[in-house]
Amino acid sequence: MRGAWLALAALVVLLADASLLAGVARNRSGEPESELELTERELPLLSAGWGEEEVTAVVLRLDWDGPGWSRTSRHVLTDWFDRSKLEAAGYDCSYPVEAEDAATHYGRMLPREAWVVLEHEADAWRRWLEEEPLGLEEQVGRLGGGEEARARAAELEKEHERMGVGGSRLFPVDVGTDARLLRARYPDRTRYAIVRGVVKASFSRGFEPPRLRGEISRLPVETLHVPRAMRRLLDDVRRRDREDRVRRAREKGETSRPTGRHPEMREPRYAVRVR
Amino acid sequence: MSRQQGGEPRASVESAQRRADRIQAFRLELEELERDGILHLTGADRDRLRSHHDSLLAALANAYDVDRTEVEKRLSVGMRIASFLGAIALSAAAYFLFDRIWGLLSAPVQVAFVAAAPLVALAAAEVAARRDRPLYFAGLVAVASFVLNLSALETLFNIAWSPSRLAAWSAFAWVLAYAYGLRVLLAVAIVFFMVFLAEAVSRLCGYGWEAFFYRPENFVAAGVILFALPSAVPHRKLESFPPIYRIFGALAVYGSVLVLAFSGQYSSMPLRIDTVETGYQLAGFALGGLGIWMGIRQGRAEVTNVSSVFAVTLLYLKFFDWWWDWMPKWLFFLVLGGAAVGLLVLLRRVRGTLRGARA
Repeated sequence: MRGAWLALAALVVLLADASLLAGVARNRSGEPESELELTERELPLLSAGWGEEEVTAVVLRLDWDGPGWSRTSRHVLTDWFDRSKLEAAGYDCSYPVEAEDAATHYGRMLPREAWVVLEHEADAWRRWLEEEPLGLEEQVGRLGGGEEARARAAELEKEHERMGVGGSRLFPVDVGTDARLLRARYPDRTRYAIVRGVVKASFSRGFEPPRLRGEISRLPVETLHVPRAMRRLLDDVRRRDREDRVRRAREKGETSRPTGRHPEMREPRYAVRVR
Repeated sequence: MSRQQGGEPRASVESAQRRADRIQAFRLELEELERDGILHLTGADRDRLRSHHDSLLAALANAYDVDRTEVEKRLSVGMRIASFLGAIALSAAAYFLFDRIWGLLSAPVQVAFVAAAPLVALAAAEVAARRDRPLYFAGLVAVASFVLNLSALETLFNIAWSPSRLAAWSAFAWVLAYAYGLRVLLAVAIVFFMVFLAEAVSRLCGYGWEAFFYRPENFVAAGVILFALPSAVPHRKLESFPPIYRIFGALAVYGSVLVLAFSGQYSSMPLRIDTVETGYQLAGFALGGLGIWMGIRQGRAEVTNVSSVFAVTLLYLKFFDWWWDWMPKWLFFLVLGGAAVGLLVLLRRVRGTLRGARA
């Protein structure tokens, strides 16, 4: 009797593996949906952090939200994701935003899956470059004036400059529930990728009238494993980065092992064609 | 009795252990009775009985590796804990070894490696079973290998997460639990199944997979199914399994009710938050009472215990909600203590009534 149970267990393993591999084969057959040439700016090497020197796999991290952490970039990234786009992503936004319990109503809405259009090195990126940063004086004014605000504004301006050289140029520009419709709207397959993503509603009373917008919280695949046959260049880059970090740690007199933080922004050292 | 060679193990092991326990208890009680002068066996009878029990215990130990004394039982518990810790440590070792060599292998070798891992672990579990080695260890390693297998393939081919992985892991752990009669694997299978079902419901409604976490109601269906399963499917050989189903089923339902009773915003019902909370508080007290009553009536200690803990937790949280802000702390805790004593009195009365009914 136990033999039958064990055969069943083995069958579960084989079926799960076979179905996963069949899905991979199906996904890789035929014409690619899009083909983007990304660089180190959009696909930096993923650091394994603790114990990094023991990890032999090479993994790239997809930075898909432009220089996302930057204060100045946020509204460029999300201004387009308004109420009508939320509805296009499947949300019912008919409840009035002025209602007293609107925050509760929209706060209870769950993240949804939708198609996200990612644009590489095109209009959104150029707009970000042209519109930002604000002049230093304007930023100081925005930050409330004073010496501290001036220092912070200068820091932001410098960061923006640095991001302009090394930050990601991959921006989300649209969402929807119909991938074919989105492809018809963004036909250039070398510039626009249409991928699955998770979006959510975001309600804020800090505006007049209160603002209802959407946010893209994540993409289901945000890391790319690099096959052994394609990684010689990346191995070199990683080795140099590690040596660099160790050297810098020694120069600073640090006794602990250097962590695997991503190196400073710089001109990209490699390009990757992603399908 | 021949030494068991891997067929129908755990059911027999459990009944063999119960028999060994009964013999042990009988011996102790016989000593007491003889000391009190209630019963006196002749020397020949006592020798015959002792010899019969000794040979029976030896045969049971030989065939099923049962614990013959309290000391052996305590040692067995220690061995299980050591096995569990060993399984975790070995799984971690396997994981870091993978990390070390993973990038040096070509893709076909990587696929072969991870696909073979759970099958090899399965074979190792069978070898362990045949040699009467601790199965907790081997079973957990087999499940961990299968988790690693699908996770590694997912990473290798840059595939998005799918809840179907949870279904596969649950099925694998389930089959192994029944093959070897391992409760720990049944618990693992149940947890995978509950998360799978909750995620599947989320996805069916068009939400992202992480949305299941914000809708405790998604776990209720899984809880009800698991709780009712042992009543629909008898477990004559694996008598220790039904309580596990009932415990996890009750925990899923009670846990969901407990969260929603105080955080109504997580409900999928289109109602006002305070209406949802009041509804779940009332339902919680009713369910807790029903669970305690059912547990006592059907003689299912696990149901009574889980339901009692749930009802008391709900009551205490409600007290906190009502009184914590304005009541002096000493009075608040006095009320909690009083409530506990009241519950004890109530349960004692129920027990007395049941005893009267049986008599």
